[in-house]
Amino acid sequence: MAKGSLRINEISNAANVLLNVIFILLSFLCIYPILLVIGTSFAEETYLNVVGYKAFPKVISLDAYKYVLSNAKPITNAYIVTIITTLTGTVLSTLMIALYAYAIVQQGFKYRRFFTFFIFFTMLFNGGIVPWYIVCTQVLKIQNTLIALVWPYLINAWYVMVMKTFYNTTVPSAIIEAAKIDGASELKTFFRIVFPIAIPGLATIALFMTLRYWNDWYLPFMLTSDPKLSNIQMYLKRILNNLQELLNSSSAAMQAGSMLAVVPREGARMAICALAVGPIVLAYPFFQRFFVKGLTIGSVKG
Amino acid sequence: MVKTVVKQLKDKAIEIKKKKSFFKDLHDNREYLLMIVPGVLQLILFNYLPLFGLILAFKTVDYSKGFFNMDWNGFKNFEFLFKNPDVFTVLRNTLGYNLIFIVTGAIVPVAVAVGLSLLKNKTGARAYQSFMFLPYFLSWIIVSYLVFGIFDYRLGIFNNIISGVFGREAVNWYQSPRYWPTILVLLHIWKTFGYNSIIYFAAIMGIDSELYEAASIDGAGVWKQVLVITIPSIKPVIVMLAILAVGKILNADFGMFYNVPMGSGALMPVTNVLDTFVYNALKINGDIAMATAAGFFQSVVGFVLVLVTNHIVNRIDSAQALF
Amino acid sequence: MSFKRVVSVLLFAAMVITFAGCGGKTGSEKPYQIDWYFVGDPQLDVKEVQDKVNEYVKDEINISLELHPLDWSGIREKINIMAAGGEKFDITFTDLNNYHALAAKNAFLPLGRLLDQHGRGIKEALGEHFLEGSRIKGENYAIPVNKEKGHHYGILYQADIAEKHGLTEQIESIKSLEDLYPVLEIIKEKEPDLYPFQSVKGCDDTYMLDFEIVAYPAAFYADSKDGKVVNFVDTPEFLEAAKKIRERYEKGYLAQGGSLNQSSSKFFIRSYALKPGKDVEMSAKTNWKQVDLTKPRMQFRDTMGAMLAISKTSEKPELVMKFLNKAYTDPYLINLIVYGIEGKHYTKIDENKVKMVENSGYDYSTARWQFCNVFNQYLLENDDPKKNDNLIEYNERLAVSEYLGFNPDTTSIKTQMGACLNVQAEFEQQIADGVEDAEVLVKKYREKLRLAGADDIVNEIQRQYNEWAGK
Repeated sequence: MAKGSLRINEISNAANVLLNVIFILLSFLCIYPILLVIGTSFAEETYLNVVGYKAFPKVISLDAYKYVLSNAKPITNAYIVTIITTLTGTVLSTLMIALYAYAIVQQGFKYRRFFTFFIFFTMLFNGGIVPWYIVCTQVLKIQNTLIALVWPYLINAWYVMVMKTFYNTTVPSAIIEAAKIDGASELKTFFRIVFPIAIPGLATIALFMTLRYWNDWYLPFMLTSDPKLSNIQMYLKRILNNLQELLNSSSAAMQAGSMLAVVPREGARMAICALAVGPIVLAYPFFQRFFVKGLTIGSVKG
Repeated sequence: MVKTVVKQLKDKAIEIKKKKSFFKDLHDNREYLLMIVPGVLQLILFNYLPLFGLILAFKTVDYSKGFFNMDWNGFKNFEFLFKNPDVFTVLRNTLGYNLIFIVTGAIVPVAVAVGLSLLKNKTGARAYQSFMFLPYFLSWIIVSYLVFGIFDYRLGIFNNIISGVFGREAVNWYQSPRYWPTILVLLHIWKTFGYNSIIYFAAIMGIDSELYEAASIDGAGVWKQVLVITIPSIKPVIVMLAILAVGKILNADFGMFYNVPMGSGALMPVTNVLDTFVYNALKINGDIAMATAAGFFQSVVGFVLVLVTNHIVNRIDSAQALF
Repeated sequence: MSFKRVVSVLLFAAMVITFAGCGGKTGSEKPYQIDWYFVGDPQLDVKEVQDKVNEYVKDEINISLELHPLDWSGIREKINIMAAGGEKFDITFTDLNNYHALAAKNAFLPLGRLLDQHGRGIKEALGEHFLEGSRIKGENYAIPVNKEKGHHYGILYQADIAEKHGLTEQIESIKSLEDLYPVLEIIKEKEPDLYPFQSVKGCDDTYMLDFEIVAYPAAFYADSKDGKVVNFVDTPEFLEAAKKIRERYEKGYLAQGGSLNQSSSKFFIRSYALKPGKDVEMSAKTNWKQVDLTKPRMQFRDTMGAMLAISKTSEKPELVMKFLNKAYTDPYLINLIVYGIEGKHYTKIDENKVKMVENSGYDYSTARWQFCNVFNQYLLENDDPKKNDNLIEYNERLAVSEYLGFNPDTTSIKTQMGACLNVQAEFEQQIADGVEDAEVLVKKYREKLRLAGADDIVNEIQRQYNEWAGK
C-alpha cells in the first residue's frame, strides 16, 4: 500500500497555510509561558521585583539554581529513583492495562460486562486515603521500598476505558476472528495481530503512564520516609511546599522565621519547575513516533 | 461472506456455552481470565479493599477506638456540606464549571486533533503537537504566578497595555469577580487541550486508511471525509470521555481553583468550588470523617449521573454506551 | 521463544511485583526505636548523628533514635493519616494548626502522669503557666518547646532604605502606625518600586487588637478577666481597625489592587507579630529592623506555637518521656541533634556560638525552634549574643492571659466552624488589603458570619467556658 501517492485526505494549499497560522499562534500561547518560567529562573531577584517576569531577563543570575541544586547527591539520587520507577511502571502498567482492556472488549469473554463495571466502579468510589494507607502499610507492608513507588498505580480505570474504546474503534473484530479460526490462541492473537494495530493507542497510554510516574510525588510522600527513596518530584515539592506554607500561613511563618529567611525566592520556584519538567518534555517526541497512520490491516490481510 | 459465517459460528458457540457449568465457563474463558488477573488483583488490593473506609463517613473519629469501633453518628458528617450560607454558590460553581469543561473538552481537543491530522507538513504537525503539550507540565502553582504576571495591578501585562497603550484606567483584576469565569475557562482549555488532543489524534491515526481511500474514490472532498469518516470514527471516544467526565461532575480541579485566585477573597463567589470549600472547612480540624463524607457525596452523585447518562446513550445508540 | 513464554514471563513479573512487598521486616532488637517526626529537610549524615545520640544516652536510656523530617504538608496531613491508621510512631511536632484536632481525637497520649514520673526536668524548664496553656480538660497532650512564651505586634522595616532617606530615627520613635504616615509619604514619592506598607494578613490592625481567639470567630478581649466570649468581627474595635487600614490604602500606602502573594521585599514596612530578635532572624536576605508597638502577652496560642507530642501508638511512652526529659535538660544532647558533630558539621566560634560547615551533610539549625529547649542550644554566627538573655527577660514581663488552660471541645459545632472558616477565607485578606470600603466590607463580613452560624459558636464556647471556670 503506497501512502501519499493516492493523495487521499489532502487539503488545499490555502487551507494548509491557514491551519499552520492557527497552530503557530496556539503553539506560541503554549511556549511563551515556558519561556517565562525559564527566563525568570535565571533572573536576578531585585530586577525581578522591579520589572516582573521576563522571558529574556536583562540581569542574569544563577542564584536560584545554586539554591535548589546546592546538594548534588540527593538530587542525583532522586533522578535515578524517578527514572527507575518511571520505566518499570510504564512497561508493567501499559501491559496490564492493554491486556485488561483487550479482554473486556472480546465478545467471546463471558464476564466482560461484569469486569467492565468492576473497573469502572473504582473510578467513582474510593474509600479515602486512610484505608488505602492502612492496606499499603499494614496489609501489604510496602512502605519504604522501591515497590511502593510503582505498584499502587499499575492499573488505572480511566486508561483502561480509553484503551477499550481504542480497541473498539481501531481493531476490526473480523481480523481477530480470522486469526482464531487459524487456531491462534488469544494471547498469540493479541501479541501478533492486535498489538501492532493498536500501537497508536498503546503509545498514548504508555505516554500518559510515563507522565503519571514522572510527575508523582504522592507515593513517596505517603509511603516512604527514607530520603534515599525520594524521587525528584518529592524532592522539589518539599522545597516548594515549605515556601508556599510560609507565604500562606502566618502562624507557621511566625514560628519559623529563620526558615522563612532562607527560603528560595521567586526565581527558585521557577527553577524548580524547570528542573521537574525539563527531562520529561523529551518523552513526548519519543512517543510521537508511534502515532503513525496506516500501520493497518492490509499487512495482516495480505 | 466470511464475516457472516464467523458470526453464526460464534452465536452457536455462545449458545452452547450457556448450557455448561460455571467451572466449564471458567475453563473456556481461561485465557481472558489470565489476561485480567493482574489487573483484578491490583483493583482488589488498592481499590476494593480500602472501600471499608467509607463507613467512616458515618462515624465520629476517635483514634483510640480503632477503625471499626468508632461511634456511629448518622449523617452528621454530611451536615457541613449543606448547612452553610455558601452551599448554593459552591454547588453552582462546581456544576457550572464542570459542565462547561465537558463541552469545551469535547470540542477544542477534537478540533485540534482533526486539524493536526489534516496538515500537509508532517514535521510541522509534530512540532505543534509537542508545543501544545507543554502547558500540561506546569503545575497550577506555577501557572498561578504566571497568571499573576498577566493580571497584576501594577506590573501586569494587561494593565500595562490598557493604561500604557490605550490610556484607559487600569483594571483591578483580582478584585473583580466578573472576569474570572472567562479567565478560568480559558485557562483550563489552555492547560488541557494539548494533552487531551493526543487521545483523539491517536484515535484518528488508528482509523483504517481504506475508509478514506474508498471515500475519495466516491468523490468525497477532504472536509466531507472529516464529517463522514473521521468524526464518526472517533465519536465513541468523545462519548466515552464525556460520560466519564459526568461521573466527576462534583469533583472540581482543586489545584486550579485553589491556586489561581491567589487567595483573593473578593473572587471567592466565582471560584469557591466543592473541593476548595471542603479544604477551607477542614483545614483546622482535619476531620477525616467529614472529608470521607464529602468524597462519598461526590461519588454517589457522580455514580447516579453516570448511570442515567449511560442509560440515555444506550437508548440512542447502544454501541456507544459504557456498559 | 514462543509468545506464550514471553507473555507468561511478563505476567509472572507483574505478579512478582504484586507480591514482593508482602514479606516485610519484623523482629525487634533490644534498643527501642524512637521515631521522631518534625519539619525539616533530610540530611545525608543522619545515621551517624543518630548513632552518636544512641551511644551517648545508652547507659541511661537504651534507644535507637530515628529522625523523620517531613515538609509542612507532611506534618499536617501525614501525621493525621498515620494516627488514623494506627501506625507506630513516638514523637511528633504539633502546633495550633492540628494540636486540638489530634488531641481531641485521642491521637496523642495524655502526658500528666508521665511528666510527673519521668519529666521533672521538663516541668522545671517550662514553668507552670506555659504548660497550662495547652491543657485540654486538665490534661497536657503535648509539651511546648521552651523558647519565647509570648508575642507582641509591631513593624519590620527595611533598614537600608530607611538609612538612605534618613528616616531611621523617625521610624524608631513611633508609638502607633499613624505616626508612620509622614515616613510612608516620603517612601511613596522616592521609592516608586516599593509599596510603602503592608498589613500582613493575621498581623494587621484587626489582629493588633490581640483578641484571644478560642474558636474562630469566638474570642476574648485582650487582657479581659470577665470571661465574656464575643464574636471579634462584631466588635466596634474591629470596624475601627479595618477603617484605619482602608485609610492607608486611600492614601496610597498599600499595594493598589491588593497585596496577594507578593514577595515581602517589595514592601518597605510590614506589620508583623514579633518577639525579641525577630528582625535578626528574618534578615538573611533583606536587612529588616523591628519596632515594637503592642504590649507583650502570653495567650494560649503562644503556649501552642511549637510542641512535641507522644503518639498513642508509641510502645514505650515511659522511655520516650525519659528521652525527651534528657533532650530538654542536656545541652550536649540537643546540640548534637540540632547541629550534628563538632568539627564535622559545625565549628565553635566561642563558648556559646557556632558556625555551620557548608554542605557538611547535617544541619537542622533552621529547624532548631522545634527541638525541645532553645535555651540549651548554641547560638549561630549571626545571632545576637544576648538573644537568650533577651528572651528570658521577655518571658518574665509577659502579661499572662486569664484563660490559659481553657481549650474547648468543638465537636458539636464543627458544621458551623467549617462554614465560618470559608467566610474567613473570603474576607480576611480583603480586610488586610483595604481595597474595598471598610464599612461596607465589614458589614458583609458580619452578615455572612451570622449566616454561617457564628452565634452558635460564641454561645457554645461561652457555655463551655462557664462550665470550665466554675470548676
